[in-house]
Amino acid sequence: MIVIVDYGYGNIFSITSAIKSVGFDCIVSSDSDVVKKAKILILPGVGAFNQAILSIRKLKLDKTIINAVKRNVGIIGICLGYQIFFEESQEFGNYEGLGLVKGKVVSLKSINPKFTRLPHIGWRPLIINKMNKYNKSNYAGKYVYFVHSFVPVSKSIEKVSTFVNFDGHNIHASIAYKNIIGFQFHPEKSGRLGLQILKNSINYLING
Amino acid sequence: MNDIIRNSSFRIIARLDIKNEYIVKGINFEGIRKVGNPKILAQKYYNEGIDEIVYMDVVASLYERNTINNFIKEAARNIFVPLTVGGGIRTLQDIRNVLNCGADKVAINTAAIKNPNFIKEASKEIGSQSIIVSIEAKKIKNLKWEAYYDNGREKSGKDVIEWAIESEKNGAGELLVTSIDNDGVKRGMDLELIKKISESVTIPIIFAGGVGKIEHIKEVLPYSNAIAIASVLHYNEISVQSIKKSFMK
Repeated sequence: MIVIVDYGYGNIFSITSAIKSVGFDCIVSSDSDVVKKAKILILPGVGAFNQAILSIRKLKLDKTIINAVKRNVGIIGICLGYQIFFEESQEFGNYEGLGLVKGKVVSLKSINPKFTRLPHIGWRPLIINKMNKYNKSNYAGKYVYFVHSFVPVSKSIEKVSTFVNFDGHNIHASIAYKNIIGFQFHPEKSGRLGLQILKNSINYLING
Repeated sequence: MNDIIRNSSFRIIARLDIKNEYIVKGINFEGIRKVGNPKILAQKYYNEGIDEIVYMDVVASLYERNTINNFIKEAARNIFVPLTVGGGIRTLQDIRNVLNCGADKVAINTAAIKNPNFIKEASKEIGSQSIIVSIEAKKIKNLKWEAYYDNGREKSGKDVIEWAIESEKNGAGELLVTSIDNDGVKRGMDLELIKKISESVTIPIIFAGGVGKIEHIKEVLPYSNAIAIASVLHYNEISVQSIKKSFMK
């Protein structure tokens, strides 16, 4: 059972539509007991890190998610949902994330104060990280949709599955490591290619 | 179905003005004509590779809200590119309702002009990435434009450039700037307006108003990375595919 975790900060309608359109059933829940039983978890997210993580903790979903991932339940994080995987974020103060992946979420501005336009909004081509051994499909040069002002920086470069070049800097666009997949971009908003990425990711997590 | 040609970061956005169950289109924001069915046209543009879709509710009345909500849900079920909704967004609850129906962003004009604080509140509560301030610009004299609201009907007395800067300060994640003078006329975009606003703010800007041929889009490239088009698409004069193909190197 695919469970979309609803903690109050996500584009639930779009994600549900996207997952259904690629042939999978899914339910939406904010209930720890339901989330516990998932085979695959989807963590969406639109908004700010501090609001999101506070809400997850309030609903006691943080421990449930962390334990599920430890039990090898597959998880896909999208945008803010993916940022929450990391140890901490600097958005509106220092906030602790779930700590599923080592690294911090930093502002794009801190990576390069001279970025011309922020937030980073629009379609950009993906660059495959050849060092990542979990990446089977070829999305090299294919365009996906980004909208963000902050980005996670994974401590281990091998976990990064794709980069994106933003104003001359390669930033981490997605990670794939064992049962953990995360996208800074929105596959559910990246047209048919995005849907394909979502489908492949779910299939990968199902098949182990 | 052909493969979508997406080979550029330049965003081509379709603007669908909706009145009741139809897409409508005017010239200089007047003289509205029915030009099609929102469901059919939105799906068509998506199939051809449009980068984003904007639904503007031009009736914007409290009582008609259900019609556009249904269009939003329908679009979100079948169209997987960013969806923006504008027209009559007055409160935080209006924003939440629209986002819960599947929209990704809201475009706000009148409510922001009447209460600029609304943008501050909205971007704090919902997040800048979902808040677009929509500006309708009418030229007063050389390099000066006035911001209009209520779908081009009312003058605000605000200078467009100053209003754009203030909106960025208030937390808008993007601007949608439409030239009233050029809208629907299909003789090109207001390049001076585009240049001036691009120099004045650091947030992304979507420009609209005036595209009649592909060359008009090319003229904007050095100053912008997103445009919204309506007339040429709805009147079937240029296809989304032909625009995308023109970006191939």
